[in-house]
Amino acid sequence: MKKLTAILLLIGLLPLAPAASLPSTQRTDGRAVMAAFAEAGKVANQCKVSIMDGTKVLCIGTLITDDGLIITKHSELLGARQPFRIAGNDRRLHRGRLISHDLATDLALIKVNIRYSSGIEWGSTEKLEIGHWLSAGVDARPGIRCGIVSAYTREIPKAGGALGIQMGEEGRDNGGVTVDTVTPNSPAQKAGLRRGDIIYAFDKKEILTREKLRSTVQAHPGEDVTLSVIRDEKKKDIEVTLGYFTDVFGLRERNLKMSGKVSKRRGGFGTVIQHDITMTNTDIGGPLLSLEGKLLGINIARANRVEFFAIPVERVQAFLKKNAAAIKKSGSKL
Amino acid sequence: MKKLTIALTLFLSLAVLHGAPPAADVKTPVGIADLLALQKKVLAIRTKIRAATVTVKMGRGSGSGVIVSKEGLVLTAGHVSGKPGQKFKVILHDGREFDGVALGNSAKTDSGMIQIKKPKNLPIVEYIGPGLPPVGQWCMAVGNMGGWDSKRGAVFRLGRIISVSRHTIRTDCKLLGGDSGGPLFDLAGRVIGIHSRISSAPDQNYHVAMIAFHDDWEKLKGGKTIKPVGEGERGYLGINFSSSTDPKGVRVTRVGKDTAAEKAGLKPGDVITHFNGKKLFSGGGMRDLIEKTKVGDEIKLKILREKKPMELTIKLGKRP
Repeated sequence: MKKLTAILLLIGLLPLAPAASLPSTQRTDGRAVMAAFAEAGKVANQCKVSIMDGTKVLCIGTLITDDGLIITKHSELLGARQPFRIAGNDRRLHRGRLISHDLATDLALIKVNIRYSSGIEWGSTEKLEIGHWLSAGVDARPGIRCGIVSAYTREIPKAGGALGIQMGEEGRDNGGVTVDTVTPNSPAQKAGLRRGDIIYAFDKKEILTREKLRSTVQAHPGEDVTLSVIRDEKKKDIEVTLGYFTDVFGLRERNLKMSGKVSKRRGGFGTVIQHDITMTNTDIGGPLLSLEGKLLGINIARANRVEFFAIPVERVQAFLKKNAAAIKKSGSKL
Repeated sequence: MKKLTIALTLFLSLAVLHGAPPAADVKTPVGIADLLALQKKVLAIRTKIRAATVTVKMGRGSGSGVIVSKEGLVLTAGHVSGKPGQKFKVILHDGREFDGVALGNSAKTDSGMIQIKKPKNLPIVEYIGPGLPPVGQWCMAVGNMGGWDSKRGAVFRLGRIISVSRHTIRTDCKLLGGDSGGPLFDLAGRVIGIHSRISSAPDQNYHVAMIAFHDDWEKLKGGKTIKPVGEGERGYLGINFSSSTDPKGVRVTRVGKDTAAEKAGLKPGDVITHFNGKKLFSGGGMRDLIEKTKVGDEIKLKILREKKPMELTIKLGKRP
C-alpha cells in the first residue's frame, strides 16, 4: 500500500498530468496538425477558387487546367446570375460562365479568364481504403482541412426531390393521387398545379398511390418532369421542375436539423467516396486530395455534419471526356 | 538521475498497468511520416473494430453498441439501453441479427449494457482498464449513425481527445443521431469510451469514459438502474475550493464553520491531491467525486500543506 502511495505521488509530480483541454491549434483541424498536410495544402490553395453571385459565395470550385477551366457542383449554381464572379488565388475577381453540366454526377464546368497554373496532379482512387488520410480545399484559412475515408465507396441513391403538395385521396377508383393543398412558392405552385388536380402519371408512367408518387418525386430532385393530371375531368400534362426537399419543406429530419446547412442535393451521384472532413455547404466543389497532394476527387455534398461525399477522380475524368466538345468550344485544352 | 530512472520506470510500469497509449498516439504529427504511422495503426485495427460494432434497434429508433464478450455483453449508452428488460434487435456488421435485452444503466454517467441472447460466433474487442485516456490521444469513433446501412457499413471518424473529466471524454470526432452507444477506440483497437451526447459544435462531442463502466460494472451487469444521488442525502464536506485545473491538485480556499472539513483539521491553502486514492486534477473532478458520496461516508484525502504530504480521514456530514 505504501509503495502504491509512493507511485501515485510520483505520478502526480511528473509533468505528464493532463492539460485542461487540447488547444484549438492541436485539434484534428487545427493549424499545428494541418501543417503536416503542407504538400496538399499548397495544391489546394493553388487550384481552389470561390464562385460568387455578387458578393454571396455559392460554393468553391477546382481549377483543373492552366487556361481557366473550373469544375464544381452544379446544383449550388442553380438560380444564380451569370457571369459568376470567381475569386482566384491571384487575389483578383474573374468572370466565369457555365459551359456544361451533368445530372448524373452533379458536376459543372465553368470557363473563366484565369491564366495561372492549376497545380493539379491527377491521382487514382484504386487503392484508396477506409482509414486513409485525405484533405480537402475549403473556403476558410488555411484553405485545407483533413479527415479520412470513413465508409465504403458506394452509390448514393437519389433522394431529396420535392414537389410541394399535400396528398389526398389515392388509388385506382380515385383515378390517381388528389392534390389536397399546394405549398406556397413550391415547384408545384410555380408549375401551376392546383388543389383538386388528380395526378395519374409521372413522365408518362402510371402513378396511383401516394407512396409511389412520393418515392418517384424524391428520386428526381432538380429535374424537369412531366406530371399528367385530371383537372375538371380533362386530362392535362404539366411540366414541373422538381425542387429539393430541404428548400421546399425545411429541415424536418432530426439529423438534418442538428447538422446546420447541408447541400440541397445530397444523393443520386452514382459512386462516391465518403469522408469525415469538416466542410460547410459552401466548401463543396473543391478538391479532395491525397497526402502527397494528388487529386482524388471533387467534393460533391455535405449530406449532414458527419457524412461528406466526393466524386472519385476517375468519374471526374469520364465527365470531362464526355464533355470534350463543350470544353473545346470554350477554347480550353485538357 | 537514478531517482529519475526509478520514477520513470515506476511510471512506465503503471502506464502499462493502466494500458496507457504509446507516445506516438498522443503527439501532434509533424509531417507525412507521422501521418502515415497513424494511418498504419488505423488500417491494422479497422476490420476488428468494425466487426464488434453493432446497431441496436428498438421499433423505429436505433443506436449503436460494441460487443466485449463472447457471451454477448454489449456496451452502449444508458439512454440507448433504457429500462432494464427492454428488448432489442442487435444487428452485426455482417447483417446477422440477434435478440438482445437491456441490462442496467446509469442516469448519472449514461453508461448502459445490453445482453445478446443465444450468442454465437461473436466478434469482440477489448476495453481499457479503469483509467482516463490522456488529452491529445488520437482515437476512432465508430457507429451506425442514422441506422443500419449494409452498403455504407459503420461510419469511421478519426479525431483527438480534447478534454477528460471524471466520467466523460470529449473529442473532435463528429457524431450524429444513431451513433449513441457506439464505441470510441484507441489506436490499439481497445474501447476507451461510448458515444453519449452530441454538442451543437460538430467537432466537440461527448463520450462516456470506460472508467464509468468499471465503477458500476456489477450493478450494470445485474440489471440495476443507477440514479444520481439526491442533493439531500449527498455527503457534505464544507469547503470552497478552486475550480481551475491544476496538475498539483485542488486548492482549498475556505473552510466552513462546524463542518466535517473543519473538524478533521482541513485548512485554507491546503492542496488536496487525492480523494479516496484518486488523483485530482481539477475542481470539477473533486465535485464529481463528492457528488457520489452519502452522508456518513468516510473519505480519505491526501493533501499537501506547505508542500508537506498529509493524510486526513473525514466523516462526511449533512448539508446545513
